Amino acid sequence: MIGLKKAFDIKIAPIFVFLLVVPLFLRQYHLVVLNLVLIYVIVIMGYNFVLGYTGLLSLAHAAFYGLGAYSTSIFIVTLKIPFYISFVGGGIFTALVSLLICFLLLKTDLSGLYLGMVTFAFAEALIWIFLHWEKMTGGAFGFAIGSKYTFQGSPYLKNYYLSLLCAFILVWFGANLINSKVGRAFKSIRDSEEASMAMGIDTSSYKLFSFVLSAFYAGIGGGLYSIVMRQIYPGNFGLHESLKQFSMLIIGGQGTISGALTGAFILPVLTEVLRSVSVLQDLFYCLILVLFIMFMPKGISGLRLKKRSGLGEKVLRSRNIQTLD
Amino acid sequence: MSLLQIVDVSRAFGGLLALDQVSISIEKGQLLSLIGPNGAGKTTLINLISGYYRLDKGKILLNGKDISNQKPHVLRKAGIARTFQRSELFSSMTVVENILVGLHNGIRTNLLSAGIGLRKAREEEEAKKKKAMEILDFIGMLELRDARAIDLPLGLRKVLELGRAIAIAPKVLLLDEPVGGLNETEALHLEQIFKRICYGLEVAILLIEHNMNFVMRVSEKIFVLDYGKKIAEGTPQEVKTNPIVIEAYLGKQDARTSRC
Repeated sequence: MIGLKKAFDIKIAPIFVFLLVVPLFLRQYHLVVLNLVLIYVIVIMGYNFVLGYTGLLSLAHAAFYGLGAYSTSIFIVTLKIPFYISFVGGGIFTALVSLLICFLLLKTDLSGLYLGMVTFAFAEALIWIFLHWEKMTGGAFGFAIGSKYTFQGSPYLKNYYLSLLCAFILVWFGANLINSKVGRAFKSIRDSEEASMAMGIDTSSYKLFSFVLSAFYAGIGGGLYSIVMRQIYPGNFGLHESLKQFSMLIIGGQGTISGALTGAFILPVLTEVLRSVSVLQDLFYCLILVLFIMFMPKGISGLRLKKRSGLGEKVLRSRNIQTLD
Repeated sequence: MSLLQIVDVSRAFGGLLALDQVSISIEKGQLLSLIGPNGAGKTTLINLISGYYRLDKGKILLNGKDISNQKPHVLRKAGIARTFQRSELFSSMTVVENILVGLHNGIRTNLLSAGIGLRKAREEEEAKKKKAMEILDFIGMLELRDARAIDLPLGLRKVLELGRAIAIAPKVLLLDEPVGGLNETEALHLEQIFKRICYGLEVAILLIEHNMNFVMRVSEKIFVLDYGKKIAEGTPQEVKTNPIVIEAYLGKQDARTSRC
């Protein structure tokens, strides 16, 4: 894994070792919280592709997360497929559904606010299905995965390492992709779709790919969530969750890998800290979201000072070169 | 056979005929200009050649092959590059990344091997970075490779846009007002780069420009459009003294009202 060092734009090794060792000393409750952080790392990494890098306003991410969770649960319990295959299947299933949807969306060149509204409507429709297709999803009572279907014995540590493995693979894969021509194509679409076409980039295919890839990440995250929680409800994936995921990306800093990781870490931890005032949680998200958009639109990762030293001097120098030759 | 042939091309927007049976042909390594008053259809023609608009009538041939109504990214692969009137750089990306986007189609790495970070993919990435550096050297911006595009002054933005356009050695380069808003020094620098592109790399350039000093100085041949029709073509000297061209720009001396 030589490519690893270059692929990450933050120092990842100490964090990884920390994540590998620390659960051995944690109580069950904290372990689950940390597990949730890892799941959000996957989900927000995926959201970042579509919202942060390609600049497409998708509001269906939380619903894709839910679709991953429900399809995984159904694969495990109803179809009796082993859970470690089911959650990968859940990711693939979610990606396939998103492929259908965004085929319709992007081939009509929908973008901006319109894309946002249509994805939002689609998300609401999915939640409606979770709630009303009771035979399949259990409706408002939720869907339970019995303990016999997942890891035997005490599952918490095993769940954690499964999530860590997935988060590691998916972050690594995503980081490599972002640092390749694919990532540049995404960013070029965000900055200027017109010029991107002029560079020979098939913009509609790349938009489609970014959408489907993000849905795959959300689906895998949702699958892991259902395995960890063993009980899911339609309400877990509604507007509240959408807002939460959006906040994570904005607070961490969209369009950077470190931003996605930071956001995925901070919000779940804050949620647990604020557990005692859970009624105010939504209000709290809204408040920090507004504050961040007003005062720190690039999020926490935007705080790292950009290397811009000597730019003016360089411009002047290259101008001198121009006049000389 | 000409490199690029535009044959009887027409395009209307609603009832407005923006281009009316325009034919021009371009040879390899030629530096040509397209001039005309505002609204003459110059940018429309470039948008048609580069696939941003569809043709109503006529056809466009590249090396004798019909390339009419192809999508922009397909035409780019066929060898048609363009720049925009308003600078359209990828503003959040660095200078070298902008060039690398221009090299996009030259990178054969597929999604999976890029994601897994195979050695082959990484080596190709390195090779393309080297190639991008060569291009930056060619346009004299090597020192600024890590600056973000948004921080560049206008003159350098135009130069970078040119560098990005020549990244995958195009056959034809369409430039929409490449020196608009630039001072004389900056325009001179661009002129030198144009000449190196035309005569060194043998790329044909077709440029739209309102700066007449510049156009007269650099062009081998000039096409004049007015109200969607080609009204003249020839060397700068011929065009300058052509009464129809003078009339299009300044109006008839005795009956000025008839045009307005």
